[in-house]
Amino acid sequence: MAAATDDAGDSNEMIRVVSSDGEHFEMPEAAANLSLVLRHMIEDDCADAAGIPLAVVAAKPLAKIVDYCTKHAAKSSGLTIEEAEELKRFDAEFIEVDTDMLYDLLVAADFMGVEGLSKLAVQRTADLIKGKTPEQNRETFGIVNDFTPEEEEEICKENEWAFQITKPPSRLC
Amino acid sequence: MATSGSSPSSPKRQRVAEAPPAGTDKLMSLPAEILDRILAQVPFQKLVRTCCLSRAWRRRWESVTKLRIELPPGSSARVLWRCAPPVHGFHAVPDIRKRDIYRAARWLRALARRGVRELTLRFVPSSAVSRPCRLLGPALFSCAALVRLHLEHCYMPPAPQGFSGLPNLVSLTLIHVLLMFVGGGAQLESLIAAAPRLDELNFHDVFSITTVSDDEDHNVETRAIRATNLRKLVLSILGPIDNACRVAEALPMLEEAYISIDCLLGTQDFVDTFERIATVNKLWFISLDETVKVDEISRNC
Repeated sequence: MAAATDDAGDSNEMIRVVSSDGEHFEMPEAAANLSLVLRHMIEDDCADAAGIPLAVVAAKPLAKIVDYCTKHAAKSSGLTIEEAEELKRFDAEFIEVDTDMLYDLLVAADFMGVEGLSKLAVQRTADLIKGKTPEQNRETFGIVNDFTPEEEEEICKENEWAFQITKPPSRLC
Repeated sequence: MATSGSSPSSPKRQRVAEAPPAGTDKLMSLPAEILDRILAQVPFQKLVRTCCLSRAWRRRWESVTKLRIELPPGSSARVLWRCAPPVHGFHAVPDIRKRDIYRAARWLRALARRGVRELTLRFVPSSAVSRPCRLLGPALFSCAALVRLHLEHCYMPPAPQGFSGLPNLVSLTLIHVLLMFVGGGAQLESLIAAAPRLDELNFHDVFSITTVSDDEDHNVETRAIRATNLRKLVLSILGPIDNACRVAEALPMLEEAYISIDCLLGTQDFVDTFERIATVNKLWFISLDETVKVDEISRNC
Protein backbone atom coordinates (compact mmCIF):
# COMPACT_ATOMS: atom_id res chain seq x y z
CA MET A 1 0.00 0.00 0.00
CA ALA A 2 1.54 3.27 -1.05
CA ALA A 3 1.62 5.58 1.87
CA ALA A 4 2.70 9.15 2.26
CA THR A 5 3.35 8.79 5.96
CA ASP A 6 5.36 11.95 6.44
CA ASP A 7 2.50 13.95 7.87
CA ALA A 8 0.37 11.13 9.26
CA GLY A 9 -0.79 11.40 12.87
CA ASP A 10 0.00 8.85 15.55
CA SER A 11 -0.94 5.89 13.38
CA ASN A 12 0.74 4.85 10.16
CA GLU A 13 -2.11 2.70 9.01
CA MET A 14 -3.80 3.90 5.82
CA ILE A 15 -7.57 3.74 5.53
CA ARG A 16 -9.19 3.21 2.14
CA VAL A 17 -12.55 4.70 1.24
CA VAL A 18 -14.63 4.36 -1.91
CA SER A 19 -16.80 7.12 -3.34
CA SER A 20 -20.33 6.63 -4.63
CA ASP A 21 -18.96 6.66 -8.16
CA GLY A 22 -16.40 3.99 -7.41
CA GLU A 23 -13.19 5.98 -6.94
CA HIS A 24 -10.72 4.85 -4.29
CA PHE A 25 -9.00 7.16 -1.81
CA GLU A 26 -6.54 6.64 1.03
CA MET A 27 -5.80 8.60 4.12
CA PRO A 28 -3.95 8.02 7.41
CA GLU A 29 -6.06 6.50 10.17
CA ALA A 30 -5.72 9.68 12.24
CA ALA A 31 -7.29 11.60 9.35
CA ALA A 32 -10.13 9.10 8.94
CA ASN A 33 -10.79 9.37 12.68
CA LEU A 34 -11.88 12.98 12.15
CA SER A 35 -14.99 11.54 10.53
CA LEU A 36 -17.37 10.12 13.12
CA VAL A 37 -18.74 7.63 10.61
CA LEU A 38 -15.31 6.37 9.54
CA ARG A 39 -14.10 6.21 13.14
CA HIS A 40 -17.01 3.99 14.09
CA MET A 41 -16.38 1.77 11.07
CA ILE A 42 -12.70 1.46 11.98
CA GLU A 43 -13.57 0.66 15.59
CA ASP A 44 -15.95 -2.02 14.35
CA ASP A 45 -13.22 -3.49 12.13
CA CYS A 46 -15.05 -2.59 8.94
CA ALA A 47 -11.98 -1.01 7.37
CA ASP A 48 -10.41 -3.54 5.02
CA ALA A 49 -8.36 -3.54 1.85
CA ALA A 50 -11.49 -3.20 -0.30
CA GLY A 51 -12.15 0.15 1.35
CA ILE A 52 -15.12 1.60 3.20
CA PRO A 53 -17.91 2.38 0.72
CA LEU A 54 -19.45 5.83 1.07
CA ALA A 55 -22.60 5.39 -0.95
CA VAL A 56 -23.69 9.02 -0.97
CA VAL A 57 -20.39 10.88 -1.31
CA ALA A 58 -19.11 11.42 -4.84
CA ALA A 59 -15.42 11.45 -5.77
CA LYS A 60 -15.11 15.21 -6.16
CA PRO A 61 -16.18 16.21 -2.64
CA LEU A 62 -14.56 13.10 -1.17
CA ALA A 63 -11.16 14.13 -2.56
CA LYS A 64 -11.60 17.50 -0.82
CA ILE A 65 -12.66 15.87 2.43
CA VAL A 66 -9.66 13.51 2.40
CA ASP A 67 -7.46 16.60 1.89
CA TYR A 68 -9.10 18.41 4.75
CA CYS A 69 -8.86 15.51 7.18
CA THR A 70 -5.26 14.70 6.27
CA LYS A 71 -4.21 18.30 6.84
CA HIS A 72 -6.08 18.63 10.11
CA ALA A 73 -5.01 15.25 11.51
CA ALA A 74 -1.37 16.09 10.89
CA LYS A 75 -1.75 19.22 12.95
CA SER A 76 -4.24 18.28 15.59
CA SER A 77 -2.61 18.65 18.99
CA GLY A 78 -0.25 21.12 20.58
CA LEU A 79 -0.42 23.74 17.86
CA THR A 80 1.95 26.66 17.99
CA ILE A 81 0.50 30.07 17.15
CA GLU A 82 2.10 29.94 13.69
CA GLU A 83 0.71 26.48 13.01
CA ALA A 84 -2.76 27.56 14.09
CA GLU A 85 -2.49 30.55 11.79
CA GLU A 86 -1.36 28.33 8.95
CA LEU A 87 -4.29 25.99 9.51
CA LYS A 88 -6.65 28.96 9.46
CA ARG A 89 -5.16 30.07 6.14
CA PHE A 90 -5.52 26.54 4.81
CA ASP A 91 -9.20 26.52 5.83
CA ALA A 92 -9.85 29.90 4.24
CA GLU A 93 -8.34 28.77 0.95
CA PHE A 94 -9.88 25.34 1.16
CA ILE A 95 -13.43 26.68 1.38
CA GLU A 96 -13.04 29.12 -1.54
CA VAL A 97 -15.14 26.89 -3.77
CA ASP A 98 -18.13 27.36 -6.07
CA THR A 99 -21.63 26.89 -4.71
CA ASP A 100 -21.98 23.39 -6.21
CA MET A 101 -18.91 22.17 -4.35
CA LEU A 102 -20.03 24.03 -1.24
CA TYR A 103 -23.35 22.21 -1.42
CA ASP A 104 -21.57 18.86 -1.79
CA LEU A 105 -19.25 19.61 1.13
CA LEU A 106 -22.15 20.68 3.38
CA VAL A 107 -24.02 17.45 2.75
CA ALA A 108 -21.00 15.13 2.72
CA ALA A 109 -19.32 16.60 5.83
CA ASP A 110 -22.62 16.34 7.68
CA PHE A 111 -23.15 12.76 6.50
CA MET A 112 -19.59 11.70 7.40
CA GLY A 113 -19.65 13.58 10.70
CA VAL A 114 -16.59 15.76 10.07
CA GLU A 115 -17.44 18.46 12.58
CA GLY A 116 -14.72 21.00 11.76
CA LEU A 117 -15.49 20.89 8.05
CA SER A 118 -19.24 21.09 8.69
CA LYS A 119 -18.74 24.25 10.69
CA LEU A 120 -16.42 25.71 8.08
CA ALA A 121 -18.88 25.08 5.25
CA VAL A 122 -21.85 26.35 7.27
CA GLN A 123 -20.00 29.55 8.15
CA ARG A 124 -18.89 30.05 4.56
CA THR A 125 -22.46 29.70 3.30
CA ALA A 126 -23.76 32.09 5.97
CA ASP A 127 -21.05 34.59 5.01
CA LEU A 128 -22.06 34.33 1.36
CA ILE A 129 -25.71 35.00 2.20
CA LYS A 130 -25.06 37.93 4.48
CA GLY A 131 -22.69 39.65 2.09
CA LYS A 132 -25.18 39.83 -0.75
CA THR A 133 -28.30 41.71 -1.76
CA PRO A 134 -31.44 39.60 -2.25
CA GLU A 135 -30.97 39.76 -6.01
CA GLN A 136 -27.37 38.56 -5.75
CA ASN A 137 -28.44 35.76 -3.43
CA ARG A 138 -31.03 34.61 -5.95
CA GLU A 139 -28.37 34.53 -8.61
CA THR A 140 -25.77 32.76 -6.48
CA PHE A 141 -28.03 30.04 -5.15
CA GLY A 142 -30.36 29.59 -8.10
CA ILE A 143 -33.45 31.00 -6.41
CA VAL A 144 -36.30 31.98 -8.72
CA ASN A 145 -38.31 34.97 -7.61
CA ASP A 146 -41.87 33.71 -7.95
CA PHE A 147 -43.55 36.69 -6.29
CA THR A 148 -45.70 39.08 -8.24
CA PRO A 149 -44.40 42.67 -7.98
CA GLU A 150 -47.39 43.47 -5.70
CA GLU A 151 -46.61 40.59 -3.38
CA GLU A 152 -42.97 41.55 -3.21
CA GLU A 153 -43.88 45.08 -2.28
CA GLU A 154 -46.23 43.83 0.41
CA ILE A 155 -43.55 41.60 1.91
CA CYS A 156 -41.01 44.40 1.95
CA LYS A 157 -43.58 46.54 3.73
CA GLU A 158 -44.36 43.81 6.22
CA ASN A 159 -40.67 43.64 7.10
CA GLU A 160 -39.92 47.28 6.46
CA TRP A 161 -37.49 47.50 9.31
CA ALA A 162 -35.15 44.86 7.90
CA PHE A 163 -34.98 46.57 4.54
CA GLN A 164 -34.64 50.09 5.85
CA ILE A 165 -31.39 49.43 7.62
CA THR A 166 -29.55 48.90 4.35
CA LYS A 167 -28.63 52.55 4.09
CA PRO A 168 -25.83 53.06 6.62
CA PRO A 169 -23.94 49.75 6.60
CA SER A 170 -20.74 51.27 7.97
CA ARG A 171 -22.47 52.08 11.26
CA LEU A 172 -23.55 48.53 11.86
CA CYS A 173 -20.39 46.53 11.47
CA MET B 1 -31.50 12.61 -11.57
CA ALA B 2 -28.53 13.47 -9.43
CA THR B 3 -29.98 11.99 -6.28
CA SER B 4 -28.63 8.67 -5.21
CA GLY B 5 -29.96 5.80 -3.26
CA SER B 6 -31.85 7.45 -0.42
CA SER B 7 -35.38 6.51 0.37
CA PRO B 8 -38.02 8.69 -1.25
CA SER B 9 -40.29 8.08 1.72
CA SER B 10 -38.22 10.41 3.92
CA PRO B 11 -37.55 13.53 1.91
CA LYS B 12 -36.34 15.42 4.98
CA ARG B 13 -33.50 12.98 5.60
CA GLN B 14 -32.65 12.67 1.95
CA ARG B 15 -28.94 12.98 1.26
CA VAL B 16 -27.92 14.13 -2.15
CA ALA B 17 -24.55 13.22 -3.51
CA GLU B 18 -24.36 16.01 -6.01
CA ALA B 19 -25.55 19.57 -6.11
CA PRO B 20 -29.05 19.98 -7.53
CA PRO B 21 -29.31 20.83 -11.21
CA ALA B 22 -29.21 24.43 -12.36
CA GLY B 23 -32.44 26.31 -11.79
CA THR B 24 -33.21 24.70 -8.43
CA ASP B 25 -32.78 26.52 -5.18
CA LYS B 26 -29.50 25.17 -3.82
CA LEU B 27 -30.16 26.30 -0.27
CA MET B 28 -33.70 24.96 -0.09
CA SER B 29 -32.46 21.65 -1.47
CA LEU B 30 -30.24 21.18 1.57
CA PRO B 31 -31.49 19.01 4.43
CA ALA B 32 -33.53 21.26 6.72
CA GLU B 33 -31.22 20.85 9.72
CA ILE B 34 -28.17 21.98 7.72
CA LEU B 35 -30.02 25.01 6.37
CA ASP B 36 -31.13 25.83 9.94
CA ARG B 37 -27.52 25.83 11.09
CA ILE B 38 -26.51 28.10 8.21
CA LEU B 39 -29.34 30.57 8.76
CA ALA B 40 -28.65 30.75 12.49
CA GLN B 41 -25.23 32.21 11.56
CA VAL B 42 -26.66 34.97 9.39
CA PRO B 43 -27.02 38.33 11.21
CA PHE B 44 -30.64 38.90 12.16
CA GLN B 45 -31.50 41.73 9.78
CA LYS B 46 -29.98 39.91 6.83
CA LEU B 47 -31.84 36.81 7.89
CA VAL B 48 -35.21 38.57 7.93
CA ARG B 49 -34.45 39.96 4.50
CA THR B 50 -34.42 36.42 3.08
CA CYS B 51 -38.23 36.60 3.25
CA CYS B 52 -38.28 38.38 -0.11
CA LEU B 53 -36.22 35.80 -2.03
CA SER B 54 -39.13 33.61 -3.11
CA ARG B 55 -42.39 32.14 -1.82
CA ALA B 56 -40.54 29.23 -0.25
CA TRP B 57 -38.36 31.69 1.65
CA ARG B 58 -41.13 33.96 2.87
CA ARG B 59 -41.49 32.34 6.29
CA ARG B 60 -38.42 30.10 6.27
CA TRP B 61 -36.43 32.24 8.73
CA GLU B 62 -39.22 31.99 11.29
CA SER B 63 -38.39 28.35 11.99
CA VAL B 64 -34.71 28.92 12.77
CA THR B 65 -34.01 28.39 16.47
CA LYS B 66 -31.16 29.65 18.65
CA LEU B 67 -30.96 33.02 16.91
CA ARG B 68 -28.58 35.68 18.11
CA ILE B 69 -30.67 38.78 17.59
CA GLU B 70 -29.32 42.28 17.27
CA LEU B 71 -31.97 44.94 16.86
CA PRO B 72 -31.72 48.68 16.46
CA PRO B 73 -33.52 50.33 19.41
CA GLY B 74 -36.39 51.78 17.37
CA SER B 75 -37.54 48.34 16.20
CA SER B 76 -41.01 47.00 16.78
CA ALA B 77 -41.41 43.89 18.92
CA ARG B 78 -43.52 42.28 16.20
CA VAL B 79 -40.51 40.71 14.55
CA LEU B 80 -39.55 39.02 17.84
CA TRP B 81 -42.92 37.31 18.12
CA ARG B 82 -42.18 35.67 14.79
CA CYS B 83 -38.90 34.08 15.97
CA ALA B 84 -38.83 30.40 16.82
CA PRO B 85 -38.05 29.52 20.44
CA PRO B 86 -35.58 29.27 22.00
CA VAL B 87 -33.90 32.55 21.10
CA HIS B 88 -30.24 32.33 22.00
CA GLY B 89 -29.44 35.96 22.54
CA PHE B 90 -30.82 39.46 22.29
CA HIS B 91 -28.88 42.68 22.15
CA ALA B 92 -30.10 46.15 21.23
CA VAL B 93 -27.44 48.02 19.25
CA PRO B 94 -26.66 50.87 19.68
CA ASP B 95 -27.70 51.76 23.23
CA ILE B 96 -31.38 52.36 23.87
CA ARG B 97 -32.57 55.93 24.12
CA LYS B 98 -35.07 57.10 26.67
CA ARG B 99 -37.83 57.44 24.12
CA ASP B 100 -37.56 53.76 23.21
CA ILE B 101 -38.07 52.47 26.73
CA TYR B 102 -41.63 51.37 25.97
CA ARG B 103 -40.43 49.36 23.02
CA ALA B 104 -37.94 47.67 25.32
CA ALA B 105 -40.81 46.63 27.58
CA ARG B 106 -42.57 45.06 24.58
CA TRP B 107 -39.39 43.28 23.46
CA LEU B 108 -39.15 41.77 26.92
CA ARG B 109 -42.66 40.37 26.68
CA ALA B 110 -41.87 38.70 23.37
CA LEU B 111 -38.43 37.52 24.48
CA ALA B 112 -39.78 36.00 27.68
CA ARG B 113 -42.19 33.91 25.63
CA ARG B 114 -39.42 32.95 23.22
CA GLY B 115 -37.25 31.58 26.02
CA VAL B 116 -34.36 34.01 25.54
CA ARG B 117 -31.09 32.77 27.09
CA GLU B 118 -28.82 35.81 26.87
CA LEU B 119 -30.12 39.33 27.25
CA THR B 120 -28.23 42.61 27.00
CA LEU B 121 -30.10 45.88 27.47
CA ARG B 122 -27.97 48.99 27.62
CA PHE B 123 -29.53 52.40 27.89
CA VAL B 124 -28.00 55.72 27.02
CA PRO B 125 -26.89 57.22 30.35
CA SER B 126 -28.88 60.15 31.59
CA SER B 127 -27.81 62.67 34.16
CA ALA B 128 -31.16 62.79 35.95
CA VAL B 129 -31.14 60.18 38.68
CA SER B 130 -34.31 61.26 40.37
CA ARG B 131 -36.87 60.19 37.79
CA PRO B 132 -37.46 56.54 36.94
CA CYS B 133 -37.41 57.20 33.22
CA ARG B 134 -35.79 53.96 32.15
CA LEU B 135 -37.82 51.46 34.07
CA LEU B 136 -37.70 48.00 32.57
CA GLY B 137 -40.90 46.08 31.99
CA PRO B 138 -41.90 43.44 34.53
CA ALA B 139 -41.64 40.79 31.78
CA LEU B 140 -37.95 40.68 32.69
CA PHE B 141 -38.94 38.38 35.53
CA SER B 142 -40.71 36.02 33.15
CA CYS B 143 -37.47 35.32 31.26
CA ALA B 144 -36.94 32.15 33.26
CA ALA B 145 -34.57 30.62 30.72
CA LEU B 146 -32.01 33.42 31.09
CA VAL B 147 -28.42 32.27 31.41
CA ARG B 148 -26.76 35.67 31.03
CA LEU B 149 -28.29 39.00 31.95
CA HIS B 150 -26.61 42.33 31.35
CA LEU B 151 -28.42 45.56 32.27
CA GLU B 152 -26.93 49.01 32.07
CA HIS B 153 -28.22 52.45 33.07
CA CYS B 154 -31.76 51.54 33.95
CA TYR B 155 -34.21 50.97 36.75
CA MET B 156 -35.14 47.46 37.74
CA PRO B 157 -38.84 47.13 38.58
CA PRO B 158 -40.14 45.22 41.58
CA ALA B 159 -40.59 41.52 40.87
CA PRO B 160 -44.17 40.25 40.83
CA GLN B 161 -45.39 38.31 43.83
CA GLY B 162 -44.38 34.70 43.72
CA PHE B 163 -41.30 35.35 41.57
CA SER B 164 -38.90 32.53 42.31
CA GLY B 165 -35.77 33.85 40.64
CA LEU B 166 -33.90 33.10 37.42
CA PRO B 167 -32.68 29.60 38.21
CA ASN B 168 -30.47 29.14 35.13
CA LEU B 169 -28.50 32.34 35.54
CA VAL B 170 -24.75 31.89 35.12
CA SER B 171 -23.72 35.50 34.60
CA LEU B 172 -25.32 38.63 36.01
CA THR B 173 -24.06 42.11 35.15
CA LEU B 174 -25.70 45.22 36.54
CA ILE B 175 -24.09 48.55 35.76
CA HIS B 176 -25.67 51.74 37.08
CA VAL B 177 -28.87 49.92 37.91
CA LEU B 178 -31.26 51.38 40.45
CA LEU B 179 -34.01 49.69 42.40
CA MET B 180 -36.25 52.52 43.55
CA PHE B 181 -38.68 50.72 45.80
CA VAL B 182 -38.91 49.24 49.26
CA GLY B 183 -37.49 45.74 49.20
CA GLY B 184 -35.10 46.38 46.32
CA GLY B 185 -32.12 45.14 48.30
CA ALA B 186 -33.91 41.96 49.27
CA GLN B 187 -34.93 41.42 45.65
CA LEU B 188 -31.31 41.57 44.47
CA GLU B 189 -30.24 39.33 47.29
CA SER B 190 -32.76 36.65 46.38
CA LEU B 191 -32.02 37.00 42.68
CA ILE B 192 -28.43 35.99 43.45
CA ALA B 193 -29.35 33.34 45.99
CA ALA B 194 -31.87 31.70 43.63
CA ALA B 195 -29.24 31.16 40.94
CA PRO B 196 -27.20 28.19 42.16
CA ARG B 197 -25.03 28.11 39.02
CA LEU B 198 -24.06 31.77 39.18
CA ASP B 199 -20.46 31.96 38.04
CA GLU B 200 -19.90 35.62 37.31
CA LEU B 201 -21.34 38.63 39.12
CA ASN B 202 -20.67 42.21 38.08
CA PHE B 203 -22.08 44.89 40.33
CA HIS B 204 -21.01 48.29 39.22
CA ASP B 205 -22.75 51.14 40.99
CA VAL B 206 -25.92 49.26 41.78
CA PHE B 207 -28.16 51.03 44.24
CA SER B 208 -31.36 50.08 45.93
CA ILE B 209 -32.64 53.30 47.36
CA THR B 210 -36.05 53.92 48.77
CA THR B 211 -35.73 57.68 49.07
CA VAL B 212 -33.25 60.13 47.70
CA SER B 213 -33.08 63.62 49.06
CA ASP B 214 -30.73 66.49 48.47
CA ASP B 215 -29.03 66.29 51.85
CA GLU B 216 -27.05 63.29 53.05
CA ASP B 217 -30.07 61.38 54.17
CA HIS B 218 -29.96 58.29 51.99
CA ASN B 219 -32.11 55.41 52.90
CA VAL B 220 -30.16 52.51 51.48
CA GLU B 221 -31.20 48.89 51.76
CA THR B 222 -28.48 46.41 52.50
CA ARG B 223 -28.10 43.24 50.51
CA ALA B 224 -25.82 40.34 50.97
CA ILE B 225 -24.03 38.35 48.28
CA ARG B 226 -24.33 34.62 48.85
CA ALA B 227 -23.17 32.58 45.88
CA THR B 228 -21.36 29.36 46.56
CA ASN B 229 -20.26 28.74 42.96
CA LEU B 230 -19.16 32.24 42.07
CA ARG B 231 -15.82 32.35 40.23
CA LYS B 232 -15.65 36.00 39.25
CA LEU B 233 -16.81 39.01 41.21
CA VAL B 234 -16.78 42.66 40.26
CA LEU B 235 -17.86 44.86 43.12
CA SER B 236 -17.43 48.49 42.37
CA ILE B 237 -18.92 51.47 44.11
CA LEU B 238 -17.50 54.67 42.78
CA GLY B 239 -17.84 57.69 44.98
CA PRO B 240 -18.45 58.00 48.67
CA ILE B 241 -22.03 56.72 48.86
CA ASP B 242 -22.35 53.24 50.33
CA ASN B 243 -24.66 51.06 48.27
CA ALA B 244 -24.85 48.58 51.14
CA CYS B 245 -23.67 45.69 49.05
CA ARG B 246 -21.83 43.17 51.20
CA VAL B 247 -20.14 39.87 50.63
CA ALA B 248 -22.13 38.00 53.27
CA GLU B 249 -20.12 34.85 53.54
CA ALA B 250 -16.96 33.29 52.15
CA LEU B 251 -17.06 32.66 48.39
CA PRO B 252 -15.20 29.36 48.24
CA MET B 253 -14.91 29.02 44.45
CA LEU B 254 -13.86 32.60 43.74
CA GLU B 255 -10.89 32.94 41.38
CA GLU B 256 -11.00 36.56 40.27
CA ALA B 257 -12.15 39.70 42.00
CA TYR B 258 -12.24 43.35 41.06
CA ILE B 259 -12.99 45.39 44.13
CA SER B 260 -13.46 49.11 44.52
CA ILE B 261 -15.19 50.02 47.77
CA ASP B 262 -13.81 53.31 49.01
CA CYS B 263 -17.04 54.02 50.83
CA LEU B 264 -16.25 51.17 53.23
CA LEU B 265 -12.70 52.27 54.04
CA GLY B 266 -11.91 52.03 57.71
CA THR B 267 -14.90 49.85 58.55
CA GLN B 268 -15.12 46.24 59.62
CA ASP B 269 -17.07 45.56 56.40
CA PHE B 270 -14.00 46.49 54.38
CA VAL B 271 -11.87 43.95 56.25
CA ASP B 272 -14.62 41.30 56.06
CA THR B 273 -14.94 41.72 52.30
CA PHE B 274 -11.31 40.79 51.74
CA GLU B 275 -11.45 37.94 54.22
CA ARG B 276 -14.39 36.43 52.37
CA ILE B 277 -12.77 36.58 48.97
CA ALA B 278 -9.49 35.15 50.22
CA THR B 279 -9.48 32.27 47.70
CA VAL B 280 -8.89 34.52 44.69
CA ASN B 281 -5.77 34.14 42.63
CA LYS B 282 -6.33 37.37 40.71
CA LEU B 283 -7.32 40.51 42.52
CA TRP B 284 -7.75 44.04 41.25
CA PHE B 285 -8.20 46.61 43.97
CA ILE B 286 -8.98 50.14 42.90
CA SER B 287 -9.01 53.03 45.35
CA LEU B 288 -9.06 56.74 44.84
CA ASP B 289 -8.21 57.28 48.48
CA GLU B 290 -4.53 58.04 48.98
CA THR B 291 -4.47 56.83 52.56
CA VAL B 292 -5.13 53.18 51.64
CA LYS B 293 -2.26 50.89 52.56
CA VAL B 294 -1.91 47.79 50.47
CA ASP B 295 -0.29 45.73 53.24
CA GLU B 296 -3.53 45.96 55.17
CA ILE B 297 -5.34 44.22 52.35
CA SER B 298 -2.66 41.63 51.74
CA ARG B 299 -2.73 40.66 55.39
CA ASN B 300 -6.33 39.61 54.93
CA CYS B 301 -6.00 37.84 51.59
